[in-house]
Amino acid sequence: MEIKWYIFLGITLFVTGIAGVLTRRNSIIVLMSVELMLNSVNLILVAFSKMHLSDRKNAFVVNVAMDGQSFAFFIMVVGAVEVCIGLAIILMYFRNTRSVDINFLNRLKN
Amino acid sequence: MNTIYLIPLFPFLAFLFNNLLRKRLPKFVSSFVGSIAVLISFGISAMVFNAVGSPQFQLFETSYFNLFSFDNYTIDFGYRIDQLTSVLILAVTGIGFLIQIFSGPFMNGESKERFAIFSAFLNLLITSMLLFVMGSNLMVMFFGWAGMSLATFFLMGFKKNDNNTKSATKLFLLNLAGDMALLLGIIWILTDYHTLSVSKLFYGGNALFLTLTPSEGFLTGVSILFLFSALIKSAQFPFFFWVSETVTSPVPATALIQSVTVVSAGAILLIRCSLLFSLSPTMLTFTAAIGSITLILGALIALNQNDIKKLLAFSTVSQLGFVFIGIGVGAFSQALLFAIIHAVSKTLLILSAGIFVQVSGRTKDIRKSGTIFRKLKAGFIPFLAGCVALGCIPPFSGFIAINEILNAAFAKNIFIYLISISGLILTVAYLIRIVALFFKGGNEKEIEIRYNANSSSTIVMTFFILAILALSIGWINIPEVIKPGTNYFSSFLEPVLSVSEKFVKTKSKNVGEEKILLLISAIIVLASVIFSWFYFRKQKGQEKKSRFSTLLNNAFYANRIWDAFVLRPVKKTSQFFEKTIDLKIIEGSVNGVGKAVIYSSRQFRLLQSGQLGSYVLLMVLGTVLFFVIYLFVLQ
Repeated sequence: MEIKWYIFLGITLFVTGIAGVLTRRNSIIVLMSVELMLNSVNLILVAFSKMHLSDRKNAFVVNVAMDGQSFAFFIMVVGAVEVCIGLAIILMYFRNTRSVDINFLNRLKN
Repeated sequence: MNTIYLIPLFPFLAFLFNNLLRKRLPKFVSSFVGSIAVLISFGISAMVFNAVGSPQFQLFETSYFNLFSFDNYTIDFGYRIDQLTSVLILAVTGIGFLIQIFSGPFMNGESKERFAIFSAFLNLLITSMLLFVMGSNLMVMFFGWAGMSLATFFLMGFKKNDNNTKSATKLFLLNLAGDMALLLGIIWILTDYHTLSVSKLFYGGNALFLTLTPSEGFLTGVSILFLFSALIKSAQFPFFFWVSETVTSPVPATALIQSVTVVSAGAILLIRCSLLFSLSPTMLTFTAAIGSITLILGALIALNQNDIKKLLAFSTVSQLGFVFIGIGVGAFSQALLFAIIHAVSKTLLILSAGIFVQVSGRTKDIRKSGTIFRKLKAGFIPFLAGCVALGCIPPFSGFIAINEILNAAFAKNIFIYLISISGLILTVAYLIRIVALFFKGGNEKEIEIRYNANSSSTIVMTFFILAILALSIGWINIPEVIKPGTNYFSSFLEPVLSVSEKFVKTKSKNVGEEKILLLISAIIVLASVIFSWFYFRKQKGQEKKSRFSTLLNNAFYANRIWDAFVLRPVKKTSQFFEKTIDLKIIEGSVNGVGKAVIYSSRQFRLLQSGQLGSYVLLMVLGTVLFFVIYLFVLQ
């Protein structure tokens, strides 16, 4: 399959994530949208890595291409940690306010 | 000869001593230190003069330390002793000493701190003048020149009130303009000739001005700058009003300023740099013209003044006009002799006028209290002697000096000769007018006698010495037509002035003609003495105030004209620079930076709304902007 389809899919997922972050008020959905954005990046990284790995003649390119895959793993780990912390914060908020409305956080100024 | 560095040093040390210890010293100590320092300098000067007079004298120059050096110029601090210097240091320290000891009893009314300050600043003035006279290069001379402005400023502001401070500041600024002109001229010479040494520039057969002939523009520019500076210092025509403002200073200070230091310094600068002026005849004629204008104006104003200190001040202005005429027609040594005679007799006149002012209860009006002053023989007789010397009555000193100047003027330009003759008549007239008014007296009942001048033997002694000097000093230069070989003064100065006098001498001396001229001037002086004596004796007490005499009484409103045409434009310009350039543009731009930061931060602060959504939106927009720039603009 050509690389461009992966890119289209990644962009679509990313934009969907952004739209979710910007428009939704439920904080769990916002967290999910953030995860979606992370995963879209992962998808593109892996796709490019695969593309370059098919070109086996250049040892340097192969080396660099492997980095894309290892980055993908890192991002998964970071995403998982982030979800843990985010969910914990949301849970604390929920205990205090009995809602998961993101506008509760509009107090960052003071 | 190796001790010459002590001559300016002693008055300077006395200045430091009196000024620093002014709160502790009793009056007699500060007076003693102030005068003894000048006396020691006078002693050394006398030895120097003696050594210079000996036939095997060689030009003596010293260099003590390096003032500054840059590129390939080095300027040393050093002194130069030649015939001109030796005469001048003798005059400066001699008259300075007499004024110092006079001010002891005279200024007795001041507190001891003020007295010490006064004595100190008299010494500073003497030091500056000595530095100016003795400097071996133009830079040292400039230090003395500028020091005189400073000392004059302090002495004029000695009596503290607003008016004095104002006029002292005005005078100081005016003098500063002159100093800057001189400094510019010096820098110009330095850039063209790479040296400031007086000997190398002006003296000897291979003086640089003779061997490397200066260009026309250089000559005109430098001589205009020097002349401008000298005109300010000597209070010549456009600047002649400032001398009348020195009357606010105490009498000894006025005497020192108007005799041998400040006003003479201008003439001495021109004589020192006479080679520069001799090379451009136009400048010499111009100098003579300025001198003529000042002579007539000053004498006319003096004729209409009733305040004795102002009258003597304008008399100084007009007498300096004679000196400038003398320089302008090329009679340098005679001009110098006249300046010295004027210095001695003007010191005498001002000091005895100071006695008059104290006697008459500080009215200063010569129409009043003449009788009392006449009874004070110790003040009045010296005053008469000063009038005789200054009024060019033959055969006393003034006449001998003025006669030579008149001869030179006649040989050079008949107009200048005629103007000088009429100036001479006016001089005699205003001096006779003072004496006549003193003899007429006034209503003395209003006036209380405050001070008995007869009692102080110091003052009497000072007057005696000054009177003898004033009357007889001219006889060191008896003109050749009377007795050949007796013009000691001119022949003494000849080694210094011969180089420049070669350029200006036009006609050879004609003995018969000079005899006639001598006779003419003697007859004119005597006739005007007799005429003005009877005229002013007969004149009623209250003369009718014509418009012209009011004009003269106010010195042609020179002060106001000066204010309107020079001070006000300068003030306006500086106000423009203050209000527009400084406050608006410079301060505006400095403050504007701060204001812009404050304003923009107030606007940016709005972005910190505290809402999560807007932060995320901004982040996204920033990312998009970054991508757009990276992908489309930078590619």
